[in-house]
Amino acid sequence: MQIKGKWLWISQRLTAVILFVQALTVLAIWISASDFNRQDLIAHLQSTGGFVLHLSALIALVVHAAIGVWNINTDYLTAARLGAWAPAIRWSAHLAAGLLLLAILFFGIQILTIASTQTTP
Amino acid sequence: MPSSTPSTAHKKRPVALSLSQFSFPVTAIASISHRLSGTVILLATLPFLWIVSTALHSDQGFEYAAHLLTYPWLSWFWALAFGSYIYHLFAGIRHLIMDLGFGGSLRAARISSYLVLTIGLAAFLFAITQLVT
Repeated sequence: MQIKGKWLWISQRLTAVILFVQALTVLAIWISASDFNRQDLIAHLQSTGGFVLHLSALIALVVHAAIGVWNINTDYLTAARLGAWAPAIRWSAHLAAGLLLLAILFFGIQILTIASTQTTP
Repeated sequence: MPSSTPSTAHKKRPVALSLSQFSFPVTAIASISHRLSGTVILLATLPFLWIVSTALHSDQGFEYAAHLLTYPWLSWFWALAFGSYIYHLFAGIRHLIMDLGFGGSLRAARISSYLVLTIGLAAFLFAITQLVT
């Protein structure tokens, strides 16, 4: 499962741009909407633009975080620091982060699904 | 009165590199903060999704979610998460600009490091004033 570093490098930046667009959108809503309520939240998540943006950003976040955590774990959880147990500790950290990201992915999809089935009066 | 051992032998010498003895350049602090803030964001995402999920559930849920953002002690966590998010965002933009070939000189990198660290700290302080009661 050797992934070329070039593609990891490109993915990290591509996902960053998607997350940047999401941040700008949320910022714009935050500034413009004076009294943001639940109906506004549902309407935003139901709109085609909002749905596509947040679904893309959710997937981007999982990819971005996976690459970031992988880099951090392989940089710090090394045999030079931890000795013989390093591979076991490193892979446990990879696994824990992977499970957390899976939970984030499914929870995020569930939120978007629930929002799309809500009816706004 | 000549000594049998050279005077330097009595000096306390480092036996191994002790990282705490170095002062890190601001660019290194910006880099490690980028990693730290990313980790904070990762840990805050699931709790935040839970807040969004609760806010979606009902009007009472929306009020409850807003209440949890300003709840004593918990509000510090959200303020830290917000500060980390804004810092990570700007440090990331700095990174992308450098990837494009701008601001790569040592002087520019130092200035932009101070800039993004200041923005991150300001965002954290702003969130404290908004959330911590």
